[in-house]
Amino acid sequence: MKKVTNKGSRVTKPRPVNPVSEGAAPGPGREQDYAGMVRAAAGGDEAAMERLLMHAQEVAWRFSLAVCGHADDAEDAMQEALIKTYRYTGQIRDPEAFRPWLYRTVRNACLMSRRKKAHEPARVESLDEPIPGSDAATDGDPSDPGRNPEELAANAGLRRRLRKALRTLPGPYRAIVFLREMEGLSTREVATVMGISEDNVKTRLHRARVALQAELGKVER
Amino acid sequence: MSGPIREDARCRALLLELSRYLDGELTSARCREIQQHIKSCTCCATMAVRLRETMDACRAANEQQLPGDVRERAHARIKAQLRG
Repeated sequence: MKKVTNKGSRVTKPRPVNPVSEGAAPGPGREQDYAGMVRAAAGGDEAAMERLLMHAQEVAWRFSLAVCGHADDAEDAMQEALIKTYRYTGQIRDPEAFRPWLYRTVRNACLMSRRKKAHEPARVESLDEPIPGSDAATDGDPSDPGRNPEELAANAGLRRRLRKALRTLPGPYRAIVFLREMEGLSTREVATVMGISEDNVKTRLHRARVALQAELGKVER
Repeated sequence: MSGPIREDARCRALLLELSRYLDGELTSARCREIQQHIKSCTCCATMAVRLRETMDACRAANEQQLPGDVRERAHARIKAQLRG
């Protein structure tokens, strides 16, 4: 291993780093009863369909933004995924696997959108330019009563650095980090979404983590 | 363990396993070996801490909210779909 230099005041002496169990990552939305909503919606319950689509749009937005990297493309992909959700909910064979199905649908929509726009000049997005509606707009929000200003500033700074670091990763690596670390999908679920083996997910996730820590270190350390 | 230079090959091999170690995917025997190595190797210990911090940062950062105007357009489209 290449020797890690300590440029800042960070403590680098050996200390215990314990493993965590598979699936321990917190996953926003994991607790929601998607399967129940899918079954009810497939059975013709319009209120359930509306609830399903409302929940799905939040998930689809986060993932499409992670994959597409641009808010306009992300919105198109999200809309496409929602329409497919509406049309094909009745045909989903395994309601328990709705989230992986949704992610796969969003990913396919992003890839299709990219293919359609292949002839267009590439859009260059400033890394300092906040994505409309992203947390950059609320970074350090003094009206947040739950956290003190120092904590808000530190969290906001970390999120900003992480957002920049994530954009340096190749798209598939970014998608894997998003699904595994941020959404809390299992390795198997990520493999299903990405259409690759579980070993491949683990390898790419590890490379992505190493690249991210190095990128974060450039700014932080 | 005598330092990063003599342990280079071993550290390189361990680096490849660090994510699986942190994800709890290795056998308990292999975990013990890695823990033993980390106790005496600053480089690997530092890398393990940084990877863990990176994982924690990712998990804490997923607060991307759907912008209001995008939400409104999506709602309108969903309503239109539901109306047929």
